[in-house]
Amino acid sequence: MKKKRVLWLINHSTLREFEVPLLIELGYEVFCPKSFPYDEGNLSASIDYKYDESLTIAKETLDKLNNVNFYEDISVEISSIINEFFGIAFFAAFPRQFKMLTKHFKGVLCLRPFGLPNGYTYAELFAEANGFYFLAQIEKLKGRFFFCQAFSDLAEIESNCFKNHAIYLPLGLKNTSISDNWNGKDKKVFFVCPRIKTSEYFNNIYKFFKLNFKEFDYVIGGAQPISVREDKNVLGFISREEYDNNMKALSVMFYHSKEERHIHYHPFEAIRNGMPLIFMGGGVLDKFGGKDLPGRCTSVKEAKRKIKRILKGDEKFIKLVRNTQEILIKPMNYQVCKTEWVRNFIQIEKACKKQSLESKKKVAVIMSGGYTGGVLDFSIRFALSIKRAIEDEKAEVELIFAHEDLPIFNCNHYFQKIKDAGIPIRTFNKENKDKEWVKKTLKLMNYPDNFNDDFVTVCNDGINYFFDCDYLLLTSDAFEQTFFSLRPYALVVHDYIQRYVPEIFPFRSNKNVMDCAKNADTVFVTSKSTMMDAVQYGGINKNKIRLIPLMIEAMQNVNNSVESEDEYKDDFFVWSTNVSPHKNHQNAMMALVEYYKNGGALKGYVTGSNTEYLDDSSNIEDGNGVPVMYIKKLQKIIKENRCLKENLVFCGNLSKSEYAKLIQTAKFLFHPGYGDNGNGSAVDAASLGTPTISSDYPAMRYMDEFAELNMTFFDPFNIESISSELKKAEKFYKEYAKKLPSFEQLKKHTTDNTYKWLYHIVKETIGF
Amino acid sequence: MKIGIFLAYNPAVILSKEGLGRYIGNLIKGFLDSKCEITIACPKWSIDMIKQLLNDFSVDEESVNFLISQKGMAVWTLYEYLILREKRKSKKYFIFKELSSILELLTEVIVSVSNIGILATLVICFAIICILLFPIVIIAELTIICFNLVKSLLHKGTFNIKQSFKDFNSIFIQFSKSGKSIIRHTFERMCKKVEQDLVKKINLQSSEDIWYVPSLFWPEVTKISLPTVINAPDLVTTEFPYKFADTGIEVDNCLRTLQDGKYFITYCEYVKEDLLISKYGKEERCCKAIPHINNDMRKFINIVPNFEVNEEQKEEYIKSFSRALLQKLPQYAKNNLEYLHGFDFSNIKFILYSSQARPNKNMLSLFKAYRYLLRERYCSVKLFITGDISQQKECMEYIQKNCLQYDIISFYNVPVQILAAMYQEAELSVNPTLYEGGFPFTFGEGMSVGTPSVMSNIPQVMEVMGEYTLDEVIFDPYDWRDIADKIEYALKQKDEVLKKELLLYKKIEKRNPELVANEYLAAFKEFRRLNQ
Repeated sequence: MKKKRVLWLINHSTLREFEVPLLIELGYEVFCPKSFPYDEGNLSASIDYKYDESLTIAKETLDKLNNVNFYEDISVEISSIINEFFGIAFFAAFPRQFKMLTKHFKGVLCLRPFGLPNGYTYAELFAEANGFYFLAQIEKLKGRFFFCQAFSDLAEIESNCFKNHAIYLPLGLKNTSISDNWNGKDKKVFFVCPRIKTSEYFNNIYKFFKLNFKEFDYVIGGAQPISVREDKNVLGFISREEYDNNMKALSVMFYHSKEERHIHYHPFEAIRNGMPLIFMGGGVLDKFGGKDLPGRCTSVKEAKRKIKRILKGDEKFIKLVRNTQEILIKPMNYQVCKTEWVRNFIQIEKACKKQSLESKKKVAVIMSGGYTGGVLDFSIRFALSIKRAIEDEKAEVELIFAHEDLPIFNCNHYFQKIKDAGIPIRTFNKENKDKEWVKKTLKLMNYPDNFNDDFVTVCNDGINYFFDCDYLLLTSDAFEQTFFSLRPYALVVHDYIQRYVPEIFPFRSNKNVMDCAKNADTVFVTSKSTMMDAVQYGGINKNKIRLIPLMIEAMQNVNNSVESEDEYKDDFFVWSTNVSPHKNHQNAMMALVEYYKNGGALKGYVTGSNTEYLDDSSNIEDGNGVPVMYIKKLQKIIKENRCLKENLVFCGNLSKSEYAKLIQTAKFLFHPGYGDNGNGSAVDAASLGTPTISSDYPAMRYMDEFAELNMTFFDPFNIESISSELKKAEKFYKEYAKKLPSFEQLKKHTTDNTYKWLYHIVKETIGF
Repeated sequence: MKIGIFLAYNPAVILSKEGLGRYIGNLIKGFLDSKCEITIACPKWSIDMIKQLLNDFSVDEESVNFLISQKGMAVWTLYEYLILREKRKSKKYFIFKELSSILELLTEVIVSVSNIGILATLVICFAIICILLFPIVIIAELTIICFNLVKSLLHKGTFNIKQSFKDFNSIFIQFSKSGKSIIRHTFERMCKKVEQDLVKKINLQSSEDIWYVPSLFWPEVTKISLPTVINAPDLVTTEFPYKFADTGIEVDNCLRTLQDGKYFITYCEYVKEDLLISKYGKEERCCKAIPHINNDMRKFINIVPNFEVNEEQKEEYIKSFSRALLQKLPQYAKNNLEYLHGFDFSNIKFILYSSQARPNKNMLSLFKAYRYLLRERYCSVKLFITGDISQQKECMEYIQKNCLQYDIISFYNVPVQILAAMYQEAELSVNPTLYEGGFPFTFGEGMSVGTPSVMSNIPQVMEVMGEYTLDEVIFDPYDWRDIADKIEYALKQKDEVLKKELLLYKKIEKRNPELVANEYLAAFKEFRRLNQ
């Protein structure tokens, strides 16, 4: 059985002084983190090695833990260490940390909330930071999650996911004995207000105090990360000695807060030091001391009156305040708190003893949209790769595949491979719903219903909107409105081509595409350049993005070379393209004109979806869903340039075998497009022994590096650069071909080998 | 020395958000550090804005005296109430809302009654109360509806009121002496009255040794009987007449101030020679060129933890604080609100052009350079600007036509702390300006937080940069390709550029508020001597 050990993943100094010794007294070994984010909100955080002594784990294991920042994602190794050695994790309300623990920690999770400003709940905080679906993930933790509230009423206003798991572990102080050092000789008010120039919240409190209490002499304590030089009353950093002197000499402390569910430590420090405390009613202190204490005020006017009495030396009143305020600190007393902790900790211990019964995860790969080309290939390879790894690892995961219920998918066997792999297939319809529907849904789940979008798109699978799944993996973002799901989802973003070639999506709303990625739990990208665009253009936090392998597959050689020679008598190159403007046809055609003018002898075989329309004799009026005006412009160029008419052969979309045959026979592959996530034909060509000359842009550079293709590059915006590279390729294609990777080398980078990499990321993302 | 500072800005100006404002803030701090007494003459509407500026520069507002003009306040208050406050959400039909709440409460009571007799009595009582209150409610509600109607007619100009006002306005424009719209005419007159009133008050009450006027906007200052020194930053409108003709900017006041003023300070030798001496025939001894104070942005974000940290950790604190500030940027965006909703700024790379959007700022060339860098050179950085380009038609058209609205983003009126964070986190500060009053602030603002600059090769820049070998980062502002090349170079060689620019910055950095304030004091003394 696992030893009684706690991961106490908090770095608050005062809190640690109280809680860690208490946990040790309860019989636990405690690990405290030695690293925390250097951000402005963590200025009173610290690290302490002394509790390492309580641990009976090997030094090298402890050293590993001591090097981890538990506020970020953790590695698989650290994940297995904490699961092996620790049964309980305590942590504060850091959304990213909470999310990390829900995914990686299999023990009991104890959220330690200390209250939020009035009108704000933890459910709202986590839903805003991690998505609504995070609340569902918390619910799924069931008996191994506790909302360990520091004040007994924090859960009252929370959603069920917290309310139903609340236990009371009171906030305490290491030392609550009252000293009698105070003399109050310095006739000034002591007001504590840190971070005046770095926090809007405290800046407003500072302004409130200055506005209302300017008639008194005062000093303002609290850490000031940026000095408030203009106000000499703001102390900023002071030594311990100065601090003790202030506590001893200043006449009175004023505490402003009316927050019902949050309190600061400094009023208790004043009480501990015997300094009279004048405070506003309505806050947490009312719960400790009732509404009749002499130091309590209901208005600023009353507070000023009471402060005046103290500053004037009204001994009777001072004595009254001092003698009665002790009641406020009593609930913080170590022994008082310990009794409560011991009583309530039993529930946590019980949960620890229970063998965690992790249910089988159900994951859906969902392809939205009627794709029949690259996205379809990707989706199928993606699902098959995951399925293969699940089987290899005998993982407790059920995988399903879903595509939109569209006529185009009815008569073809697009999903045969999925069926063959034994993956159940669902179809779904997209539905647009309004804000009210969303709010109602959230309300039914007892989640906060702050929702901004007027409309959303949901996927109706005719069963329960994929609610039976634990996680959704979306392989496309084809939604009319912002995608909405109560289940966490990862989205594959193939590219942000609209950033570079905006004209190709003139009517596509950016919002739904952007929001679909912004709201995702994780974003998968297949190239470093798309990763960069996801950050720069998509506005997605880097930590949410994962690089997955390019899902490439090698093509087998076609063994009917005699036929090929008969079929393709001329020497030629292949131009693999479609009719989208990002394929850069205009520059490519102008470059080809130059090439032929300069004696270029190779014919150009143009293949790809709708490329038959580029033939100037084709009737474009019938073109279905193609950019008619754009194609007409290209037809005109061809018509005006005889050399193009004579040398270009427009093949349209070819069958896989015809396509392979064409590429295998070609001297080289020509790819003048740009802005997308790369052209997979380069991999097809390499596997068939044909070299590629390509536009120089980040995605193709990445593909070249990923699959070691050794391509040759040209500038797609410079006609001379394109034509001279065509000329060079005509001459040196054999040398280019020699630089290609062998079939075996190439196979290393295909899904046959990279499926494990993909699975590893999916596993980490979903947390199974 | 007792120094008066004349700041008769109109109510729309927020000094702390402008480069000149930050300059004035620094200068006041420098004067105070040099034990001068400061009196600021300003309209009442500017008090809060000036106090905010003092606050930003860590100047205790109590250490400055104010000479205030109340003139125009009545009109301004009325305008504020009728026009500006309309933007706030009005509580329409609140009585009906209240009534609904009361009814809900009553329903609660009614459903909990079990005796039919009590229920009947309650219903009768309620009916009587309703009958008695009905006329009062109706009258109150009607009054509110009428009031709202009048207000809405005034604001939105529904029915024919808007047209009638337009007609009246065009007649006014045609026949009035000013030839301006009635609102503009009133606004200008209001500001003029304040200016005159302040001068009158100064002449009656002031015992200052000298009055310092940081702008050419107020010709009345030439009537101050005490020695008065005027800052002549530039006269950019005469350099770009075509472009400024499209704007509402008028320079009559500036020209009059230039003509009638005696003592001037410029920010560079070029403007002193070219504008004051050559064009306006001012005496050389009455003109001084005092280069800018270095705007050190570091102090706004310089986080110092309570406990000991090494340099690296300190930088991490500053970085993380700055990134948290950047997260507030969407509230200052002029457009793109939908795009920026939920946008994560924690890793965004961007180049920054911090400047107001004026014709001489050469925004369009920068946008062309940026388009090329993004679309043809795959430079993934965004371009953040701080000027409001919504009024610059050609810039807006270019952005729309090229779909650059998601990558060129204008954050307008950002507070100085956020601006400091923008400089801190920018990859590069870019300044393609065609004309400036002095060496651009952007260089020092960027370098104070370790961000290098690429700049135009205009005389005002070359006067300072000329002696340093910084050709790689100086471009011809009339050639967008050159701008693009230099940006691309500096992005790739950021460390090297930073190292080179550091030599120049070390010199500029010395121009702290106290040093420059002392140069001003020396100039003031000299002008006072001449005045005697």
